[in-house]
Amino acid sequence: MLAGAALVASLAVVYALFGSTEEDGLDDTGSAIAIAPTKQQLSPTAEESGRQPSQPALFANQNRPEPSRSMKDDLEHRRESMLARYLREARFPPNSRPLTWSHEDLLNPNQRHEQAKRSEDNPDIRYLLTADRYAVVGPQSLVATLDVWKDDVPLSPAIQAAHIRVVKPELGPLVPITFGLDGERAIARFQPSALLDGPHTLKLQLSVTFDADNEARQSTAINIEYTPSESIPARFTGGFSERVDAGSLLVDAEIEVYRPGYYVVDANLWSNGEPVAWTRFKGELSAASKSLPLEFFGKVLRESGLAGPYLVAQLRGFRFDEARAPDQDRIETAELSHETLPYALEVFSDQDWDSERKRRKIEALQRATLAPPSGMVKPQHQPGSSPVEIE
Amino acid sequence: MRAPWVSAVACIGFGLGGVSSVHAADYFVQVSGVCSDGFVGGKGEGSLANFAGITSIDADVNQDNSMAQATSDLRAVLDTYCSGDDWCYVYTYSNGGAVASRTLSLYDTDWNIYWVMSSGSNEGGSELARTGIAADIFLGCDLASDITPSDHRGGWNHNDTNGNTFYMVAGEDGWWYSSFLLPGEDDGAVAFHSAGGFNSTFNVDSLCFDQSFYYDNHVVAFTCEGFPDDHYETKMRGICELGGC
Repeated sequence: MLAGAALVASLAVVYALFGSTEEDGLDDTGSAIAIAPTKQQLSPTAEESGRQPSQPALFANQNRPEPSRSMKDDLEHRRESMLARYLREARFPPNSRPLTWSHEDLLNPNQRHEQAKRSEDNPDIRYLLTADRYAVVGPQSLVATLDVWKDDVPLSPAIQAAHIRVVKPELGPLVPITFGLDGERAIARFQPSALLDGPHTLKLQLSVTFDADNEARQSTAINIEYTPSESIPARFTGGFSERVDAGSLLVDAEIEVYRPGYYVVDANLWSNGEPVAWTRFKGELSAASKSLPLEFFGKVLRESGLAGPYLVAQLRGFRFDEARAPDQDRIETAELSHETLPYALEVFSDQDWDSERKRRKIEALQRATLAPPSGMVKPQHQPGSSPVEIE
Repeated sequence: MRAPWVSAVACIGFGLGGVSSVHAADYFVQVSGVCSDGFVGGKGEGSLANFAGITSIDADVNQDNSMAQATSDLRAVLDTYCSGDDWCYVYTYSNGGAVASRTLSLYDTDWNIYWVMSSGSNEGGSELARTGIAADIFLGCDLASDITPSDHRGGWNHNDTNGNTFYMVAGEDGWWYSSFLLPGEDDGAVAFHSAGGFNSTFNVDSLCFDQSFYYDNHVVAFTCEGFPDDHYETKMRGICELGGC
């Protein structure tokens, strides 16, 4: 207990001393950086892709640090900053952390990221082959689309060939895919399960060859991850139970395990439409396992300022087997959610995460002889200055 | 003003009793990019870092075939050099950054890692991966077609670093086709959205934005504008900036 109290005291001292380093508009080298990161729309063409061009941030300090400034000169300061950064991040455990609107990857975990490409033969021609999801599980359908533009005007592509094939673990035969036209857009909707099967997850490639406006023939392709029905390792039953344990919210998600092994499961927590937290389970599940625990760390809930009832949603996960490639068999996903009881924030702990591994890490960082500086700073709050994605 | 704080913290930290642990050796584990199985040599002319008191390791990670193989290989390396009483720094180049991110995300092992530094990281995937140019840049192997933004961003939860900080180092000296194929600023092979650790494929010409637009535990190191390096030159940049080349 004495050691624990001393640790808490030491952490408080460290955090008080260094925790504000990035708040004061200074970077880790002490240089002043004025920041007004803005991403503004630059005449976006809505058809081009999900990612629109944005204006870069503006920085008062445009001078790049001189590479000759040796790390050894201010190792101690960098070590302080490194430790302070770790302490800020380690207020929460690695697998149960705040969820914000900026976590686009966690809010839309199965989204794709293709961007329109320009033809190497004619830069006026752009095209985008993409789909509505990256991973397909069991009988789910995939909707693939091909858009083509010339001088930003949509064109109808003339599909010459479209195929899907397994590329991992072994190269499979080409299976034809039929595209139709929806306006100027070529679109294909199909179930991989009707075309392909296998005992484990497959990596697929969808390839399309097309002509557009008498220009040179183009070929493009995207990858898809597909878990066939027979390789789905488990399913969520839809049952949940919950409790407050050691100041954190624990939600047990009922699961039926078909294949024992090492599982990874993610989930998001919401409050009245606002993102609150994400959590992650990593561990072994046996055939006898009836549920898995999803921990939402108390301090995350307290700092969110958002009381219950909460909504546990966006459950997704997989069984991981490092001996195979692909190595993830995905759990069948469903639109499952669980609304918790109402909770006052005060029932959750506002204590920082503490563990033996954290103490060992702090000790290690205090003796580290290599400490990178960071040019990253937390911007001073300026209304309207935050980067905003423009759809 | 800052030095005394470290001393004070050190005194408190080592005075905890029961917290202090044995520390045997420090390693600097270097992980290279796609279509490689070692860091030394290759495009970018990699070499082992030279830091006093730290043993550099050329990580035997096969990145020819699949991310699964590479992840498994890196797990074995970390088991060897970053466990027990040994601690390590992990330095990655190009797709090695994706391999490190994936490995730390998937496993629950509490390896002894001070930090991870990713130079020219392909953690967020490269738009070149499905172009004819990819073969020239990445040499050409099975894995080179599986490192797109969709593959890497959809493939694992990058926010779970197992508690380790990723320091991101980027180059901004793109090649002739860069503006054709890569969004925003780039080093010719990876865009800033990937090398900077952003949590989406932002079209950005700077590395520094609000921290909320990065994967958790990812921070930009050294410079907001990127170094005047092409992709190959980024290979040793982080090591050299730390004084190890």
